Amino acid sequence: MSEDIVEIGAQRVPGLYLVPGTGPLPDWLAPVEPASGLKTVGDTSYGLSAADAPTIRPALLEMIQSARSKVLFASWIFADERITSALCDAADRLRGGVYVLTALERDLAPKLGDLDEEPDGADERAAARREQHVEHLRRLAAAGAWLRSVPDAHAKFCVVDDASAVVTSANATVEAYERNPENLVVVRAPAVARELGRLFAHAWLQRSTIESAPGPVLDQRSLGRRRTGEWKSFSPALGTGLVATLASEESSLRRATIDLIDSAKRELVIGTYSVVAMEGHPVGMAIRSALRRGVKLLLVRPGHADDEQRTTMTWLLGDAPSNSWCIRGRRYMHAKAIVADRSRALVWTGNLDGRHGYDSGFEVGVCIDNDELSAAIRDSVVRIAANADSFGILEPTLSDAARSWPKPPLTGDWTLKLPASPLVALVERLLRTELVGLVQGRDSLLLRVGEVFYGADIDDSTRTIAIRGVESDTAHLRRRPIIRMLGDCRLRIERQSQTPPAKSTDPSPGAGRRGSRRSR
Amino acid sequence: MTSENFDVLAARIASVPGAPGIPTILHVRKTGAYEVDFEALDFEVDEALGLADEASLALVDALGRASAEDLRCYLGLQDVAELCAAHLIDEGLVGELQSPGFWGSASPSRRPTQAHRLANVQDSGTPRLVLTEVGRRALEVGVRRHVVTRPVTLVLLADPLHFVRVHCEASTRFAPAHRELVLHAKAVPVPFRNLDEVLGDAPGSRERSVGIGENLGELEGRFLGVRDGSRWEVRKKGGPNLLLVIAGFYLEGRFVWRTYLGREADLEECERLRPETLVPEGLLGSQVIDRALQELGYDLSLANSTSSCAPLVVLADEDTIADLLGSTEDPTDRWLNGTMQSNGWATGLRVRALPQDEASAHVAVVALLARRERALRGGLDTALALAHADLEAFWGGVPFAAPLRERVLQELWVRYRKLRLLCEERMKGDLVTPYLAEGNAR
Repeated sequence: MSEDIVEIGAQRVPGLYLVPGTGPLPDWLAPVEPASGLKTVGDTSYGLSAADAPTIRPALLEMIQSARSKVLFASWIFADERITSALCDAADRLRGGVYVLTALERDLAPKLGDLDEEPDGADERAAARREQHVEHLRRLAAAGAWLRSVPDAHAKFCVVDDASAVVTSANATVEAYERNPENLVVVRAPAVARELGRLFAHAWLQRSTIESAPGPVLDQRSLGRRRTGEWKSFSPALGTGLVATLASEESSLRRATIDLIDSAKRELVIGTYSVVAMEGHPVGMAIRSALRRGVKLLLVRPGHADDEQRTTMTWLLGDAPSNSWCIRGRRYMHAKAIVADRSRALVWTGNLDGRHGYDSGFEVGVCIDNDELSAAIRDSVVRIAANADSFGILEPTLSDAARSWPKPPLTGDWTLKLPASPLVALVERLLRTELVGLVQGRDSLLLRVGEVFYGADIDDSTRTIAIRGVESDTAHLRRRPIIRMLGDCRLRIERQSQTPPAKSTDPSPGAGRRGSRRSR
Repeated sequence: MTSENFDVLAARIASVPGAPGIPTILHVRKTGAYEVDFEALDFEVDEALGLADEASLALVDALGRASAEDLRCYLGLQDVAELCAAHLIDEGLVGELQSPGFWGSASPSRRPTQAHRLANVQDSGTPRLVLTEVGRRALEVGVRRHVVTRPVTLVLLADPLHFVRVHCEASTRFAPAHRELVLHAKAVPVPFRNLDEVLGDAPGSRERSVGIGENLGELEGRFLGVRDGSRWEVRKKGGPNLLLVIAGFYLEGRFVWRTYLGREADLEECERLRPETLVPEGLLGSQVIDRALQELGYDLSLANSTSSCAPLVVLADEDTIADLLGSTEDPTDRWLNGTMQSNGWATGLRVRALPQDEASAHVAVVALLARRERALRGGLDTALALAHADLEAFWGGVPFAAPLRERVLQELWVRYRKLRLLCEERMKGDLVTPYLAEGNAR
C-alpha cells in the first residue's frame, strides 16, 4: 500500500457557476432608487413585489373586487387563500362570470417552481401543493367559477370587465405573493384589457381540453376534439403593447423579445426564473449578438443553476469580456422582464426557455415603450441584483464552484481508498479542471470526477471515500445532478495492493495539472 | 308513502275500468295475504237428469204414487228398478209411502196417462213412492242438484278478513315444495280461526263480511261452506305487499268512496269491501279535509272546488307554494301525505296551490324555472316568460306581474344553486359576443 496526498479546490473548472456571495455591482449598473410600490405612467402601472413590499396580491384583489361583469383569471396553480376567496366571492356576487384557466389534469404533478430551491422534501412539498391546489379548485367550482385547462398554459394574468388587466410573473400562491421577487403590470386601458380578454376567450373556447363546470364537486371532464376557430393575431396598429405565445397561433412574444434585444445599444437588463435551451434559439442568438456588439448584460435569476442552465448561460456569454456581463442569483427570483437601454421593456410570464414559451405553450407579455416606466422596470431588476446572494463566475475554482451548490461541499481532510493501481488516472483527473462531486446512482453513491463516474462508499465518520471501480454505463448518469460537491479537500490516497479488477479500465489518461500532488 | 307514490297510485286508480277519474283523497294501507288449504268445501251442483231417472220421476208424477215394481213394469227397467228407486230416494227426489193409509186423502192422485205396463205386476206389496218437491222441481227443469265436496285453497286477507282469490297450484311438480310452512295454531291470525262459521253464513251476509257470495271464484256450484268436521291449514303468502286503497272522488259536490285492492300496478276495484267498515267514519266525510290538513301539518286556506274529480284548491304563501307545485317541469297538483291513523292508514290529499299574493306567485315562477334546465340553457329571459305564462294558465288565467330578472337570477343562484346552468346561459355573452367584431370565432 502506498499513499499520496492530493489537494483539490484551487483548480479551475470550465463553465459558469453562481457562487454564493455578494459584491458591488459594476459601475454601468448605476445606483437605483428604493422601491416605492407601483410606478404609474398614464394608464399603466408597474410594480416589483418582494417579501418586504408585496404589491401583486393587493392589486389583483382590488381588481377582482371591483368587477361588475366578469373576471378572467389565468394561473396554472391555485394555492393562495385570499385570491381564491376573492374569486369565489366574485362568482357569487356576479352570479357566475368568473372564468379560470388553470391546471386540471387529474394526474397533475405540479413542478414546484418557486419552491424548488429548497434542497430537501421536494416530493412532500409537491404532494402538499397538489392537494392544496385541488382543494382551491373545488372551492372555486362550488362557488360558481368555471374552470378550464389549456395544454402547456403558463400565462398568469387577470382581466376584469374588459376594462383593466394584470399581467404578472406570479402564480396564485402564497410564496409568489409574499416571498418571491415577482413583478406585475397593471393596465387600466380598455383597448388592452379587451385584447387580452379576447386572447383568453379564444384559448378558453378553442384550445381548452379539460373543464370542470360550476357545481358542488370538482368534476374534470375532457372537452373532446380540438375546436377549429381561427385566432386573429394581435394588431400592432392598436398599440396595446400586448404580445403572446399561443401554440402556433400567436408568436408575437418571440418577435417582440428579439426586437427588444436587437434594439439595445448600451445595456440589457433581464430578470427571469430560468435560462435554458437557448443555444441556437433566435432569442439566445439575439442575446449573444447583443453582447458581441458591446451591449452590457445584467441577468438576474434564482441562486442555484443546474448543469443544463449553466451550459446555456455559458453559451450565451460566449467569449464576451468579463466586464460586459453581470450575472446575479437571488433566491426565489421569479420576476420576468427584459429592459433595453432604460427606454423599452417587456414584462412577460415566461422564461428564457428555448423549449417552451416562444414557439409553444401559452404565455403573455406587455411591451412598455415609455422611458419613465422602462427605467422603473430596469431599476427593479437592478435592485434585485443589488440584493443578490450569488454571482456568476466563468471558470471558477473548484472551491468556488462547490459553494454554488445548495448543499455545503465536502471539505478538509478525507481518505480516498483506491482499489487498483490502474486508477492512477483518477488522481490525475482530480487535479485537472473538472468538477468533483457525489451523484446518487441506482443503488449507491457515485463519485463524479469530470465526466467519469466511480462507484464509491462514503463514510462520514471516518471521512473515507472508498472507490469500488469505474462505472462503464455512464450515459444515464450524466443527467443526474451532483447532490454534493467536493471543495477544498486534502485527499489522502490509499491504494490497495490486492484488489479485484475494476469493471473497466480508466478511460482517459491524465492531462495538465493545476492542483498539487506530492508523495509521502 | 311519498307524494310521488300517491301520484302514481292515483293514476293507476284512474285507469281502473269504471273509475270516475282521478281521486281527490286516498287512504292507503298495506295488507298481507294468506293461503288457506281447506280439506273439504261443499258446493251445490246442478246435473242433468239421466233418462231412467227422468222417466221414473215422470211415472211417479203421473201415477201419483208408484212402486219399484211399477218402474219395472211400466218402464221396462227390469232388475235395475229397485236400484233406481233407492237412488231417487237417497237424493230426496221421491219419498217412501210406508202404508196406504199413511198419506190418506193428501196423497197425490193418479192423473190421466197413456202409460201402460210392459209386464205384469208380480208384487204389489213394495213400498209406494211419491214425488217430493225437490223431485218435482228437478222434473220440471230437467236437472237435479247435489252436493259435491272439494279440497280448495283460498287466498284471503286477514285484516280485514277478505277473500282475494282461489289459489291455483302451479302445475310444476316442485311448486308444492316452494310453499310456506303451515302456521302453528298460535300463529294463525284470529280471523282465520272460525272460518267454518264465517263461510257458513248465508251468501248475502257472507258477501258483506268476507266478499264471498253465492259462488267461490270460478269454482263450479253454489258455495255452501266448510264441510262439518273437516280441517283447514293456514300459510303465509309472501310479505305484506298488497295495497288496500280507499279512494274519495269528488263528484257533484260530495265525496264518493270506493275500495281498491291489489298490487300497485294491478289494482282492482273491490266493491265487496265497504269503506265504512275499514276506516273510521271521520275519514270518509267532508270534514276529512280540514282534519287532514291539520294533522298533516299544513297551514293552508281552503278554497271551494266545484268541478268533478277536482283537486282541493288551497291558497299558499311564499313558504309553501314551491313545494305544492308538484315536481315536474310543468305545474301539477300535489299530493299532501301523512299518516293520520295509528293502524297504518296513510292519507293523501290532492291539492292545487294558488298563490296567496304576488310574492308567492313569484316564488312559484322561480321554483318552476329551476326545474326547466333545458329552457334555462336557451336563455333566462325566454324561460322566464314561458314559466310565467304557464303558471298563469295553471291558475286559471288570472294575470300577475312576472318577477324581476335580477330577483330570479338571485333565487336561482342562491336558493337553487343552478350554477352551471346560469353560467352556461351567460358564457356566450361573456366570452363570445364581445369579441366577434375582432374576428374571434364563435
